[in-house]
Amino acid sequence: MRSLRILSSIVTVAVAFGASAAILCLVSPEPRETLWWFFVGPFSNVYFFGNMLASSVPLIFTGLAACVAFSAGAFNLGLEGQYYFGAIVGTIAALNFSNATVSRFVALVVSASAGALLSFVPALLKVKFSFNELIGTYMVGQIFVYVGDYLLNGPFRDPSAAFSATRYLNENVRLTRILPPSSLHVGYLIGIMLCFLFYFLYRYSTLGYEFRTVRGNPRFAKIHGINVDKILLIAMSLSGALAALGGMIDVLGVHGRAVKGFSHGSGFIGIAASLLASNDPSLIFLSALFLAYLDSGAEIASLMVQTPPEIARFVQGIVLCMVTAQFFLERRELDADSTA
Amino acid sequence: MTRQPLLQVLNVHKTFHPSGVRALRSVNLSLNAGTVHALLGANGAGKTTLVRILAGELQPDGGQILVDGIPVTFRNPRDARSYGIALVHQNLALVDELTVLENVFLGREPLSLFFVSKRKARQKIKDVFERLSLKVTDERVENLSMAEKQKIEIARALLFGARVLLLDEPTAYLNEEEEEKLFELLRSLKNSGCAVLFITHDVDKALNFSDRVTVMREGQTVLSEESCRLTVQQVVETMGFQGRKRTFQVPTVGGETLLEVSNLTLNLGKKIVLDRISFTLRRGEVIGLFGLGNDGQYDLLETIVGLKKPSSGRIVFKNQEITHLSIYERRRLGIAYVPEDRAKEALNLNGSVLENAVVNVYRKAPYARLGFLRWSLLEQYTFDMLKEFEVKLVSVRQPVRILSGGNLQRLVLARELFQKPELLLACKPTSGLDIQIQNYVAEKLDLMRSYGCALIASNDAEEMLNLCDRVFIFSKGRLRRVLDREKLFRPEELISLAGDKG
Repeated sequence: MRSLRILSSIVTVAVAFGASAAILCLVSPEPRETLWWFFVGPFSNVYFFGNMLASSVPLIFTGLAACVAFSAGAFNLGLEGQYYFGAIVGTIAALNFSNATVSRFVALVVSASAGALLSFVPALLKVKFSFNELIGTYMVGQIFVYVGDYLLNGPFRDPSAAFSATRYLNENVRLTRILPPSSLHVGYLIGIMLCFLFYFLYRYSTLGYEFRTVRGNPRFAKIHGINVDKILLIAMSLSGALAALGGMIDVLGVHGRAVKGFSHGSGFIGIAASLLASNDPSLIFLSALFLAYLDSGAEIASLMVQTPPEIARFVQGIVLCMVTAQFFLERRELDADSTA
Repeated sequence: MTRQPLLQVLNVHKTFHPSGVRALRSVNLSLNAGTVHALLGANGAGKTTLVRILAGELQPDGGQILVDGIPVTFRNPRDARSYGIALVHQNLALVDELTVLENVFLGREPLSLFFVSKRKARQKIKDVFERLSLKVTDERVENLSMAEKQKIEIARALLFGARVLLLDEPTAYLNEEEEEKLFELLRSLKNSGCAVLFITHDVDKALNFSDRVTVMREGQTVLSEESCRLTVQQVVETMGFQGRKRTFQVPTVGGETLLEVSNLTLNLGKKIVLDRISFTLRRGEVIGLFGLGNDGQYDLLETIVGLKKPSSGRIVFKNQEITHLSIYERRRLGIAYVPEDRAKEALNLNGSVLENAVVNVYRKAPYARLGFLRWSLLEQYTFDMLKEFEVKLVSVRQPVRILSGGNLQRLVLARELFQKPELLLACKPTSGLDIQIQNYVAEKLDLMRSYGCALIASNDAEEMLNLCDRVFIFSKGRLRRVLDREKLFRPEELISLAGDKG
């Protein structure tokens, strides 16, 4: 079963490659050149390679965030808002402290709490009043994307900046770069460690067992004394906190300040990252890397040859379609194979 | 002239993957038009697999299926239906939220100019519903009894012209009276030229109500004979176990009071589900809660375990008030619960056997330490449990959904009884089980008397008499009568007492 799942992930990736190659050939004036930059570009030098790894970091966090919610049978569609708003609030808080360690600590704690709160509220509404959590998380997330925009545009805008952004954080607050001249930072290693940590927790902790049981059959879980509401609240809060941490680490590692629109849809692509890894936390850093690779390839191709960078979004769309299809296909197989 | 069988099965076999369970080894069967055929066998003998193959839900690995003497292959249930073969599932496949009418026509709605025509629908079902003496059409299905739901499924089958009707344990959820009516119905279908095949565990009924009996054992058909030429003893022996009825031991009552329920009332919306129920239960007692339908006996168990919050009244267990405790706290005090719906409530069908087996102990020492599970200990625990309760499987890591119905039942009972609870709350613990396991459950309950007590809710009178010392008769949420076991001899008495709304 596991080998079958891995095989279907490989097929997904192969089809995505094929489709993107075909599209590039169609839209580009110099197809050969474009294809080369698109596929080989990210590996052609340390700078491109490091940047690709760095751009997978947000997806690792949002992918894990989606995965944590999935693994308790819940959906968090507000990752984008939690990622964006959490990072902005964290940055604003951190700007008030001069000590580097304190500032960094405050940034992480404040952003994680803000993200957790944004997903906790819809989860609470679901538990108490059976609000649909898909709509709840999405709406709250979207609202706070705009609240974040307002903060950057209005009260916390750096007057000297040409566009909506906060002041820069001190150089010593930022995360250590590990592959200069690229923007790869230690956040990448933290992300990978978190992947394995969550894999371990999911398999070996009592909480992980409870998550799986609630996902498998909530009614069964309730009858056997598992507090289903509590598990849902924990899963959703954790999910929101992880998404916001992803945003904060991206700010600390790459941007150095919160810039309007810096999230680039990372929240939604996180859902794809989780599905592509068949919701296995230990594989998420790989699926995030794959999605980041497509993105970097498109960016490099547009830099070197005149290709629209939106092509990467197109390819990501194809991948998302395929992993969702695969998700439902597996479901059907399971149903067909039951006996009694 | 010999009649051509309507449906014939030749040497069909089927192995499930990835478990490698050989569900069917060699199955031969022939069904004639205008006959009722009973399919008997122990749990896990392959009965359900066989009917699912005939209905096109599963594909056989080999062998032939002939309809009117012509070989056919069913790739899906639609194919089977086009040959007039319909299956009525054990766990009925209806949409609870829709009305009877909508359910009957689900997927085949009669149209007039693109709009669903209710008038046409009503005309179409009139005959069939009259034949089945079904009156309701606009009621939502969730409000109906199991017997009515079953009739709706049969009506569906007849409406698209079924000639072969397959019923998977049609009597599992019916009381005696409803059962009687069902068999009457099957006879009338037979007279109109249909072939009927039903699965059952009850040898008596099979012989009384069918023209022909086929017995399956470990995936093979081992006997196929006209009912009138067989005796119960013969059939039971071919099924592969000794048909002995349990000898009942009068229990030694006199232990201390374990459970005290006083003035318990439960309202759901405007409906009074339980009306001022009071009783006590002492160590060593097994008490039956009997009602003909859903008369509050199951809700009482759900209230005691903590799934439903009573409107008033008290529950005291081991001298401690538990009325407001959580389910977890109640279970920790020594209460075990077997819910009515095994597939939806008692099992996590998406999990492994192991995950299902340990749900009551996983957070207790020594199985959990500092929030982490010790899977090797849990595996050993599961292994011991399954061994004691004789659940057959390849590995505890395998998905639970590939176990047969009987093994799933055993697994559920094993999980609840293995921790030696002081109070067992069980809904229909022996429903759908063959005699062998029924006896086995009864033995386990007898053993339980030495350390605890049990409440058994059911609408099966025989089950009540087999398992319980005393029977509380429920009717519309009220405890009407208490009967001692010594005064009860035949199930019919119990049913007539329960039906008497005095």
